[in-house]
Amino acid sequence: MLEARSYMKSARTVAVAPIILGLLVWANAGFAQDKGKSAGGDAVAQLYAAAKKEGTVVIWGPTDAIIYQRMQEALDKQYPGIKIEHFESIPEPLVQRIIAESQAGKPAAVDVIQSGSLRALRPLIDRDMLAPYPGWEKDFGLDAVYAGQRFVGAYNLTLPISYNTKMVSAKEAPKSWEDLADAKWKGRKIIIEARLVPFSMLGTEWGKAKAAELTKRILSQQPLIVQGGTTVANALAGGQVSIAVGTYAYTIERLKRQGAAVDWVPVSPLPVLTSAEGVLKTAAHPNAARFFAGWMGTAEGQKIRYATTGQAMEVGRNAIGSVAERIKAAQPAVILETDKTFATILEIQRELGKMLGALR
Amino acid sequence: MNTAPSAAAKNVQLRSWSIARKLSVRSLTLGLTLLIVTYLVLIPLFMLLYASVKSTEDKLPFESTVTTLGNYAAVFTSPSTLPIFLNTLLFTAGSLAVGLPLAILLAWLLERTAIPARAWIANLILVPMTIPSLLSAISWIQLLDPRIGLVNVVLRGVLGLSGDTGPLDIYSLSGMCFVQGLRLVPSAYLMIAASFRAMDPSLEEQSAMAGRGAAQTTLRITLPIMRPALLAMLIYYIIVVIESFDIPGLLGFTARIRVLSTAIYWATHSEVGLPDYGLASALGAMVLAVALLLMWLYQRLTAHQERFATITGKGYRPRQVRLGAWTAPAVVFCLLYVLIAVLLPFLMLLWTSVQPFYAPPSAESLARATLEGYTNIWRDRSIVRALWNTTVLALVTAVATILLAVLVSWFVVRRRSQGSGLANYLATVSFLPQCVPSIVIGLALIFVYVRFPIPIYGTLWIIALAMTTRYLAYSSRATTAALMQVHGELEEASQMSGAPWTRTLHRITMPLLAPAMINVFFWVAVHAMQELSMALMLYNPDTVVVSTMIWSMWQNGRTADAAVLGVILILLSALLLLGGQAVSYLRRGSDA
Repeated sequence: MLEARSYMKSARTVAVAPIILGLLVWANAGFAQDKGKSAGGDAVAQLYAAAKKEGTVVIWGPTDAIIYQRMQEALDKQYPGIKIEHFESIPEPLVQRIIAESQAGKPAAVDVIQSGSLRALRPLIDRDMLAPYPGWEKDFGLDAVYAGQRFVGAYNLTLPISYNTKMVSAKEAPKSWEDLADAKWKGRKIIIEARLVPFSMLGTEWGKAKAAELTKRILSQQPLIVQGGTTVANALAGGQVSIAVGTYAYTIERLKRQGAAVDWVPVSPLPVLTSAEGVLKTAAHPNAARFFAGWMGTAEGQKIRYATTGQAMEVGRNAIGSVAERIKAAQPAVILETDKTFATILEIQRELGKMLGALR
Repeated sequence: MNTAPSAAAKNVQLRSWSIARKLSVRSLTLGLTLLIVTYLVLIPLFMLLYASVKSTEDKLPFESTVTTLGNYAAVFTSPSTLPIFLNTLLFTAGSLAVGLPLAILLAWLLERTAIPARAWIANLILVPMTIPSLLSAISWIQLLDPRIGLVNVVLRGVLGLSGDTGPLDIYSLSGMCFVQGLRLVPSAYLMIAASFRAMDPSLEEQSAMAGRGAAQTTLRITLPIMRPALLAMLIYYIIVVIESFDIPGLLGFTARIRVLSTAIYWATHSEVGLPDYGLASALGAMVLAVALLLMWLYQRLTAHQERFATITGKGYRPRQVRLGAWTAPAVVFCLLYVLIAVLLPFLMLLWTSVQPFYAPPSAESLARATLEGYTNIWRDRSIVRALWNTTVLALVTAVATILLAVLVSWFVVRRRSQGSGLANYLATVSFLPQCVPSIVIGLALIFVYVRFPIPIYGTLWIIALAMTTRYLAYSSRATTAALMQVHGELEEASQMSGAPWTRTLHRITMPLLAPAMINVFFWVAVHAMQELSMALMLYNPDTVVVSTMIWSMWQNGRTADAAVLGVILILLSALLLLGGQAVSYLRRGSDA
């Protein structure tokens, strides 16, 4: 309970934070230009000099390769001398490889590991394989720093309720998670991603029992259940279902831009995942790694990422983009995935998974 | 006193030396085959059994210090286990009931009868196998979804049905069995077609002359002769269906039909840290037990294998049956199959490749159609490397697997007739990798090769090794079934004429096995192009392959790009198929 209350408190804090901190975005937007002037700027300039000496940063993670091509172009203009080597893959096998190679005495040839959620990197924290770096907060002025300064946020993935605007009007669309249990959505009108992440995150706010009970009620509505957020988004855009849960707000925004009849509701509480980056203790280019991970979190890095794929920090100091704006306007309570919540999310996810066939 | 050996003694000496040399080459090859197969299979098998008795929650198997039977206890005490096992049984039986009779009928029609356009139909049948399973499953949903599925929309219009759903429901056990069954057909067809091709029809003709009808001839002659091939196919596909996740993953969750592969999926794709290898391996070990039981049954049922040989030294005449009045219905049946199982899913893939986001075919979505995906895709710097790596991987894996499979089959078939236990060992062991979840094979290879001095870790070769291990089961089943139909007397005649064993293998056995070998080559190459689970564990920036790119694109919402790559993969597979046909054509030409 105590834990749940503290999450609620932190959720509210995060919810109002964008308003207060939004002003700071402007200040931070000038970060690159003023980097040589402030104390943080000095430290960043020193870090950049050290990074330039190393010359390369190797990053592994699920981010689309095109983003790193754009990042490289921007770096070459403003911070020349750092070459990005990127390996696109899902983090789970990468994490296993890093552990296996490290235990065999052959550290993996990677500096920065990135994941779509904080939880995926937990095994590296458990094994103390990531190096903390206070400079992300102190010098780069970033707020999305977790696990004793071992992770820095790369972007957020907001998990709202989405709907097909041809099949459901904005007025009819569910306004809360409980609305999904309404009888009018019975009979394969909802699609849910099989890993049930939003419901697991709701459990950190509501408690496991309430989240499980609501999940059970919604599953009794005979929703479609499929694996993968993209499959969920496609089903919604294609008119296969009226409502979707388990796809990301930025995906829906992108589909809207492409002409799909879809939209999303910033329901409260609103689960938000954090894609994070960490620097390995065994990194061959530690300064380049710290610099690059920090720079990607700044307003400048965020702008490039957002312009390329629509992904960005959606809550917090450097939040930008259409998802961030809608969250700011609606002010829902945000359930943010942090290092303090991922153990609870995992525990609830395992419980809920049993409803769909998990044995433990 | 004449001390020089007589001419007769010299001859005896020479012959003994020659026999010893033949034996030694053969024994050496047997030893080497045993060693390679054992080595390939033992590593993942050891990992499976080791992990199944380790407490691996939040730990990799080799990190865990706790040995426990808790994983097995978790399986047996969970209230979900019984329904999962029952569903698995129903799903397996239903899928096999749909897929295998279709494959057998198509193989018989296309290999044993003289229906027109056989070559075209035979090629088209293989197309669904070349579509990556994720994209194929999505295509089926787009066709059979109760609300927007093209087939349902058309049926509602044609039949004048009211309402906006149905009449067909893909999200049901029957829907799952239908789609899974159709997915089996190309691969099962390839496995069985070579055996039909190699069957001597004179036995059937004699049966007909003795006054037996077609049904009686099929039951009393054709099916008994085909027994090894049919049993091999049945056993292999029982395990394949038990293991397959694509269809249960996309349709079963909705239908609330939980099967064994769903449970393995939950254990290995927790997405919240490390996979639960202990639980997944305990489940895998149970599949292994089922496989061992099936292999034992198979060996008992095919014990007197010489009964099944139809290619002997006494006149082997593969001929085609004329269907007469049944020709037209047979062609219609084949074309209907091609339309439903081949063209429709392929057209849906093409449609997806020209849509910025998925939308069912309509005037509105047609207006949005764009070929951008076909140009965008080349902007990705890794694409050329991925295509090259995929082609190399497919060819290397196919060649390595087929060579190993032929050797395994030869020893299994020829040694077993001499009552060798090694033959049964090889037959069983080569089948077992099919029971080990791909992700466990991947982890086992990382674990071993990151420590081993053999410098293949991080190269394409480790992926080829993983795939060769995995595909040995299919290929050795197919070649063993085909070799059982080749009587040993042909090889004996060759060797009595003085040809060494290697030349006999090269000049007699392999040409007779060529149809099966070409089929297996194609099957392995196509599956190697699509394999994802092992590739995801073992690839790196230099060894990126098309399957991992398709997966990444799909996950990043680039559905059109993923579909475009799917189309490219089909074209690559078509090239391979054409290559295989060219080889067959040249062979037939040289035989003539």
